[in-house]
Parts: sequence; structure tokens; C-alpha cells
Amino acid sequence: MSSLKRITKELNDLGRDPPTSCSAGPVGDDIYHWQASIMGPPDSPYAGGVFFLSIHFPTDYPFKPPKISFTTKIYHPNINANGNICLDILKDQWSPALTISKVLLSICSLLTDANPDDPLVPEIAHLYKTDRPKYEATAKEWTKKYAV
Amino acid sequence: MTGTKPIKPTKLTMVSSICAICLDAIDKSIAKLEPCNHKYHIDCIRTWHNYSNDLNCPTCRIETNQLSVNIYPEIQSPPVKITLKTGFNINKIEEYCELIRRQPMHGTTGIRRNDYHPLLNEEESVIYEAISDEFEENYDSDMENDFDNSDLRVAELNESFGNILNINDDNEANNNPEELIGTFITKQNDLTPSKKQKQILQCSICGETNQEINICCQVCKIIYHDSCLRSLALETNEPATWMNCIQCFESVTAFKMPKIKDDNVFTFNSDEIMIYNGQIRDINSVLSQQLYEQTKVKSLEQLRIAKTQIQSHVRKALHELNKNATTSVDKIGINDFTKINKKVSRELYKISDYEYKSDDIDYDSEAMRLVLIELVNLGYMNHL
Repeated sequence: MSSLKRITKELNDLGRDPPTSCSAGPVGDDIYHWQASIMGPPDSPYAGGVFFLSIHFPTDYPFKPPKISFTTKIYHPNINANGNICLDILKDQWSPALTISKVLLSICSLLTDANPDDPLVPEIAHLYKTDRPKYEATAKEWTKKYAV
Repeated sequence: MTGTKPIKPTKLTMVSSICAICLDAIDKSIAKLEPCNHKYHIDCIRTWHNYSNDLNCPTCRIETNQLSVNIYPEIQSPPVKITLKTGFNINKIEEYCELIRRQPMHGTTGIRRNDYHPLLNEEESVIYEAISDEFEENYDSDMENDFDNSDLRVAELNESFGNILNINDDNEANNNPEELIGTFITKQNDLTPSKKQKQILQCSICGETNQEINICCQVCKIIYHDSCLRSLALETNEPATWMNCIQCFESVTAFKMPKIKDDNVFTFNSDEIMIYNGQIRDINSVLSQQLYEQTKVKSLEQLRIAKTQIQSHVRKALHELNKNATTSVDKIGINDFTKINKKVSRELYKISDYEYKSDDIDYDSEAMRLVLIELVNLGYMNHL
């Protein structure tokens, strides 16, 4: 049960030194199921919004990546309607040296700098590349509608 | 690791070594990835290697090729290197043999060259004796007569050597009990009966001998560190089988290590078997192989010829000095002659790297120089 020990350690570290724009912690008694929140980065169309995410740790964490998805609706080329995130470090680029804190920071920077060349939602990616103002307007609108 | 008492992290370890995988302090079993030098617990990084598709460092993602493991940092043994591409623990055993070979040069309290002796079987110790320094300690009372007859000298040495290899109880030919063959047979007789019960107790995986050994096979009595068995199971990707002996696959049981004596040799009734270069081999044969390799000489015959040739230069120098001696006080006595001959010859073997290199080394003048130094040490001042 080394995963339990490691998750507990991460929780303690988060409590001792919380990151500025996000927070995370277990939902109820299940240490393997967390909820996290991310503040929309100020220099992005998500500014002002608070986005919630659900985190499920596998039993062989940190050797397998945690399953992280947005529970708040968000308009983003790399995040689909189910909240699934297309981020390499959550898949084949996972490293056991990554922590929830580092992963949440990576998601924050994904919100600022989307990766339209590896999209999860091709339509949003297309708009992002061809008509950035329209993309930003829609993203702002969704933020206002679902995340404020 | 279950069953291991956590060591309280000191301030230093908290600052310098946190394993990025489990986020615990690294207090034992430090494994360093090379070339990036990021440190992890051995179990953590090897578990990750089982999950990962590549050998990149989890922290910096640089591709790594070697794992340098310090299994017992408290005794400051040289680290064991595991080549990640081939990945098997055999390297540990080879490294252990290498470690033994390096001991004499380090001058540490570990196993010295002479400590090989109890580990060798009869045949091997015969050969060991033959190639060891005692070989050139041959000195017979009629030395005075062979001043100008080095051929005879060589013949005698050849004969002695033949006797060593075909050792038998018939040692009447040796009038002088101090002489090589006599000494040698006495040693053999001393060793043989006790040697059968003497065995070295060491972990069959890492080769270490210490109090931490705590697992023993119920059937073949081979002993292990539990951590070594578990690491091996991880190496071989069969973590579930760690409770089985690697030789006979029977289950293992707890074992209490007897108190370690100075010589690290104990009475123990198991066959000494180890894995070396992928083969199951008798530990004695592995150690003697290491021993032969240490001499860097291809064959015993070459070694013998080299020693005989080198020694003839030392004798020549000694005889020359005795010829020139004007007073009986300056004449080198038999005991000193033997002593100087041994010491200088050994010195020259070392310089020559156990080969006769007359093109590179001026043996005559080098022998004379060293002999004179020894003479001064022994108080023969008039020779200078």
C-alpha cells in the first residue's frame, strides 16, 4: 500500500505549501478520490472562473498516472464535453516524480496556452487557429455561464 | 519495504535526498541513475522500470543507462552498477567479485588476498600456492655453489614446481623442512581436514557477509538478505516469487546469522554455489578464476618462467655483492640472502606486471638498486 503513503504525503505537502491558483483534497473518506479546483488564469479567457476537477488515484499510484477530468464545463481545444483532458503527462509522458500539485499547474498552463495541434475537440481547435477572437469570446461566455 | 525499521531522517537527508517516487527520505538502498545522478530508492526506481516503456529518469527525463546502487551505505562499500539495458542482477555478483579483487589495493579491512585461501578447494589451493609469492621463496643451502650455474637453478625450480602440481605424501626428497615443498605439504595437511567444514556465509545474491542476512532456504540452506531476494524478484519481473530460493525454488524461511568473526568464515553445511556470468558455479571456482585473472598472466607456465627469469637477476646481484665482499662481516648471510631475494623479486614482479619484460626493464640494475636499499635497511652499510 505504498500508494496510500505517497498520496497522504502529497496531501500533507499541499496543506503545508498550497499552490497559489489551485487547491485539492479528498472527497469524503476515500483518500483515492480527490476533488480539485483551478482558478482561471488571468491572461486567459477563463479568467474569473473557478473550475472543478475530479481526481482518481490508481492503486499503483505513482507508477500509473491519476485519472483527472474537469467536472465544470469548459470550452477548450484539449478538453472535451465529458471533461476529459488531452495532456501528455497524464498519459504516455507520465512520470512518478510528478505530483498532483505539478499536474494541476500543468493544467493551468494548458488553459493559457492550448495545444490545437493535438486537439481533443477538433472544432474548437479549428476555431482557435482560424478565428481566435471568436474562440476567446465563446470561452469567456462558457466561463461566465458555468464557472462563476 | 515491509519489515524494515524506518530510520529517522536526519536534517541532512531531508534536505539532500528525497526519493521523488515515494517522497520519503532516502536513508538506505540508494540507487543513483547515471548519467543524470538523480537518486531514488532501489525498489522505487526498479518498480518504475517495470511500469515504464523507457529508461528515462523520472525527474529530468534524460535517457539513463546505468543504475549505481549502494546497498549498504553504512559500510561504505563501493556501489554496485546495474546496466539497465541488460538489466539483470548478475552484474551485482560480478561487481562483488571485482570488489574483492580491489580490496588489497584499497588496504581496507575487507577481504585481503590471503583470505582467499580457505575458500579454495584442494586443487585450487595447490595452484594458488604455486602462483603466490611463496613460490619464489625457494632457497636451498647449497646456494653458494650455484653462483655461475643459473641453468641448474632453473632446473631445480622446474622440479619444485612439478612437485607442487603432483603433490603426494612422498616428501622425503626434501632435506630442508623450511624448503618450499615441505612447507607446502605441511600446509596442505593442516588445511584439508578443517576446510571441509569451513564455509563462507554470504548472501547468495549480493555476496555481502553481514548481520543483515535473515533468509535461508529450507531445502538447500542457501542464505539471502530478504531485500536482495525481493530486489531480484523485481529485476526478473516476478515480484510474487520472492519467497522462493533462487537455486531450488523451494520456499525460504527466517534465518539468524551467527556472530561474525574476524575471518568471515563459519561452519555451515551448504554447497557453495553462486550465479556467475549467468552460470551456476561453485563459489570456489569463481574466486580462483578471479585470482588467476588478477595475475594477468595467461598460463601458469608463463608465470613460472617469468618468475624464474626475474629471480635470476636478483640472485645475480646478490652473488655479485657477496663476491666483492672483502670481509666476512659484509658477506650476506643465508637468512638475509633469502629475505632480500624474496622482497626484491616480489618488487620486480610487481613492476613487471607479472611478465618478463627485459626490453622495457633493465632487470640487472633495477635488481641491484633494490638489493642495495634492502642491504642498507638490514645494516650492511659497507656495500654503499
